[in-house]
Amino acid sequence: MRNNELELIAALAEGRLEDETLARALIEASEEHRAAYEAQKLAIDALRGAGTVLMDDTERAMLRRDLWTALKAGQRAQGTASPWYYRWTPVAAGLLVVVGLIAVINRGGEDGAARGLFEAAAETTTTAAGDIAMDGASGGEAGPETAGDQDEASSGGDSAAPYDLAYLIDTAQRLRDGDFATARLESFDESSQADVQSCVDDALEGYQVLGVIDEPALAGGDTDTVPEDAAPLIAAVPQGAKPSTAPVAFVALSSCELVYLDE
Amino acid sequence: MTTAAQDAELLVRVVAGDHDAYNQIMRTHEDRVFSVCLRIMGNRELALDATQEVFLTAFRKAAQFKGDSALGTWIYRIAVNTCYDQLRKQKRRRSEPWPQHLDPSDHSAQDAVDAAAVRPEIQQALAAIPPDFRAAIVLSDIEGMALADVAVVLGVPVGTVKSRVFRGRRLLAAVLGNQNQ
Repeated sequence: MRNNELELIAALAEGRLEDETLARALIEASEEHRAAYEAQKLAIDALRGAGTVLMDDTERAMLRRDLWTALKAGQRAQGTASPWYYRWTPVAAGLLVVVGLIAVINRGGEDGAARGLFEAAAETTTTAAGDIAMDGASGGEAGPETAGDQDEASSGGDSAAPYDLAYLIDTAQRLRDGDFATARLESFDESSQADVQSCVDDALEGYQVLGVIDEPALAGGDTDTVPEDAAPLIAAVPQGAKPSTAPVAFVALSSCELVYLDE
Repeated sequence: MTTAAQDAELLVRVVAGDHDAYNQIMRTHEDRVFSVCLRIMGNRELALDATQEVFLTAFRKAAQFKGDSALGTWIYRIAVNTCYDQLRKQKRRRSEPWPQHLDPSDHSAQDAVDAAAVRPEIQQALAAIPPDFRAAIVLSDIEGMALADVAVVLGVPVGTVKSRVFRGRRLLAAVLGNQNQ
């Protein structure tokens, strides 16, 4: 079949022709053309009735969460990339010590003391070189933080103790169940709403504040006797998602670091 | 629906680091991107992964968008290429067996099928035809894109699109005809 015939048949099957006379004559004149038209029509009708596909709320929320987590991880990796010469600093330091000791030895210091120092310096250099070799084997720079890793549910601030993982998992479930009282979720002053949301935005994209937990349990602590200096947690869920089905996130209010994210 | 000028402004803001602007772009295009990915990949999990990859790529390449096509067309081009890459990685030509919980013969699963609003026989038939033809008819006949836009998305001449659409439909009809026997 010629291209113009194929186009005519396709146009007829698609219903695009104002005047179908020529096309109708073509398909009626030949079995091959008629079969081609019927195949086009069958496929078009089937595809137009294929139905609409949409993500559900949870899939949509997870898409946003995972996307922004990946983007932030990428940005952190770029931000923390060290100049290449940084990894050679320990070796350089070790070599300087060795050179210095050699100079001391050559000046006739006590054999015993010099030998001990020399061995210590050699060990330092070897250790530094070994660290670099290990860094090379593992890929070099420290990997970016990955939000949502439940094995690393620790607070972000240097002074805050790690949060109890079991408590975080349990509390997330309580929030999904709507049991805000037991979860100790509290509202906060409206004047600080923007600051609290901004803190969540620093940790995660696309999440909205649910409330603040003033007295979260710390690792190893009894949930009923929480130390006074436990940093409050912000509970958040994806924007527009229903808490009952949404992945819950906890952000440390003191450091605006993500400490927990439902998988 | 955003205009070309609005799209351009949004991208300028994205490049400047405005994440809200990118969220707005996502809200506009994520459903169609997911739809295209699901039709091409034939598997919901893979389609979700591909959708995420599409928007990751679009974000990273936002500065490269020149405006010689509509933003949506540019994003769908990324979507198709991402799906092609994923399919190559999967190294298989057929979709996985339909998940048991979505088996149309299982009446208790019918709600899930209805909710997904995907006719399994259509999806299975699509999975049976080559990816090039599949992408052409998904964009043209399911997503309703004009052939000129499909040509931009696929990076081929309009004539090639017409040919792929015609041949893809013919193959699809043959598969559907075999399914009905």
